[in-house]
Amino acid sequence: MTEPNGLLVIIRHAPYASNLLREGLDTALVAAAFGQPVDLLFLGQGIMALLHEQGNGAPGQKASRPTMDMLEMYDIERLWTSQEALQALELEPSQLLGSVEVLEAKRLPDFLKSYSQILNF
Amino acid sequence: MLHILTKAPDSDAAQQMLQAVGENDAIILTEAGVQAALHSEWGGFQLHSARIFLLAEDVTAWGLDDAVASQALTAVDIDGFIALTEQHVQTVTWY
Repeated sequence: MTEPNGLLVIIRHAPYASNLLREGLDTALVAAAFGQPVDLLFLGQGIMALLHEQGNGAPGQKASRPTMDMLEMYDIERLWTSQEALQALELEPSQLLGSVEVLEAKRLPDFLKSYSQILNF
Repeated sequence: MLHILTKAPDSDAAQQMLQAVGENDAIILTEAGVQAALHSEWGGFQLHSARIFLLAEDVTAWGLDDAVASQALTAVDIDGFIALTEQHVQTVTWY
């Protein structure tokens, strides 16, 4: 098994319902700005941030979509989610942003183990 | 890997954690997580009964000492918790 490396930010809360998504994305962007490899894993309600049809923000709230689009500029290209988490929300991969990769839930334990740091939002 | 669960067994955090727990991982239940002591059929106990710990200080704070004793669960104090964090390369908190 290769040496665990890099930061995994797990996003489990929906946009707008709390600012946990914003905090998670900001943390990922800061780590990436300092040159650390960062991947993002979206589970549960966090998957709502991956919908490509998002509007420009709930009333009075800054949109999360622009921040999602900015991830690529910071070399955060791989966004992950799990098949089972998608099915639980009755969503299809085609409804998500282009850069999302879907893995089977049974691969989650090993997936997490490949990172040296894991932060949950 | 050490998984720290601070939410009750019926929370999203608990359900999502159970999907992420792998071979020879350990789970420590803290804060509201100690409520799992009331649910002998909680998925976490079926999954890895050997490696589940509860933080003794929180068990007492939540008044669940009897539940822990009656289910023969393993409670560790804060030093035990620190020892656990030293035994595992990675730690992830579910809250």
